[in-house]
Amino acid sequence: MQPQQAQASGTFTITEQALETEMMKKLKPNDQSVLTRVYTAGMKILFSPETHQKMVQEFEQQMQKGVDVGQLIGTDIAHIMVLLFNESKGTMPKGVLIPAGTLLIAKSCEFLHEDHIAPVTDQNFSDAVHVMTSAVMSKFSPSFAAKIGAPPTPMQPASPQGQPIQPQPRAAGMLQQGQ
Amino acid sequence: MPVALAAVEIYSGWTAATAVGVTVFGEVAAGAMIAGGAMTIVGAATGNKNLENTGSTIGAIGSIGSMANAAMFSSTTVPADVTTAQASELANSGNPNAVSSSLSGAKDAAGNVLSVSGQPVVTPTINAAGNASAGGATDLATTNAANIKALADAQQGMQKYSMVTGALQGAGTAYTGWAQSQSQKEIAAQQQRFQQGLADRANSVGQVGIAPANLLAVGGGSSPAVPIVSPAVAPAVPQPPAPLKV
Repeated sequence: MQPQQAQASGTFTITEQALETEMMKKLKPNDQSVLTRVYTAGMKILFSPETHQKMVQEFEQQMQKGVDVGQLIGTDIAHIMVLLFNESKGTMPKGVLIPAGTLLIAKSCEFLHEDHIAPVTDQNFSDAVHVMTSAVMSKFSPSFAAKIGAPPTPMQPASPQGQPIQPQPRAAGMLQQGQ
Repeated sequence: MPVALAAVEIYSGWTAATAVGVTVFGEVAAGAMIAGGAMTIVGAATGNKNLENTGSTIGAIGSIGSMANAAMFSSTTVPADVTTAQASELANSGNPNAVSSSLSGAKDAAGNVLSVSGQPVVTPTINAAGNASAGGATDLATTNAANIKALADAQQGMQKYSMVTGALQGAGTAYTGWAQSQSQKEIAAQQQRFQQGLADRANSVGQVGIAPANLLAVGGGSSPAVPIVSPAVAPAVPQPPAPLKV
């Protein structure tokens, strides 16, 4: 089936692997390892024995309440990304938040699709990425949130003393794409 | 007009954040550009217009965010074909590091590049944010008014998701709260073990030792995950790279 046909039929055709490959091309080696580490940490939350069943149950409950799949995935992944960032006490390079979140969304969609837990389409993936991106960026910029009309989120990046997060030395090359 | 000034003028509303916030936000926005660029490339390669368009929009959001950043001219926002004269202009605008990196050939495949033509410009992806497509970057020069309209269009496209952002207080909160409590328990347990280890070692050598690298890992004792620094002790030190995949 051609991708266009798959799209038209409302199926899920996106693979996490393809996205990861392209993202890695755009990052320097050091940044690639950072992305991998953050992605791996997110995967542990999503799929570790201690959390996976609970996550699936929560997802199904929300589905039954009529919450959109894309919205649900996007919000959950946004929560996870902020959770990871908070637990790193702000040491996690911020540049990997959205790329890692995007990969986690793709992996979540693959899982939900392949295990027939929920019907997932490419559009659901796109919605989820929009939600996650908007949420994460709003999280770090009240002015951005205000600009898009988003209400303040409850997820405030934590610091040990409750003080605003201080800027960390930028990871080498994080903002530079690979050649 | 220097590009920096033009961008700041256009997106001045977003520069109201504190310097700290803007710096952090710029890094996050750069990540959006990387993710959006990857999505655009994969979408184009597979003929998946949905993915391609979404990638363009995400990249545009990142571009806009980066433009609001004082350090906006990283290689992710400056095109590879910037001329020497333009580079000088950028350098004079206060960001020489960005110029050197941009001249090294950085190129954003998502089309999220700025065209430096003396006029404030935005990319086609920004113009079409919400209904964007990659490619077609034949005419990057737009008027200032068009840029403002592009921003409005981008905002309109994102309005759709603003309510969703509000839903962060609802959907998924229960799970995340639970997961966080589990992580906190694990961290507390690891901290306890760590402190006990310190005490044991101090007892064994007859003096209080210096704390070794105080790293905890999310999701497992010795697994190479995200470094977590105990607020009570020393700052984190880098961990070696983790295995590539789970």
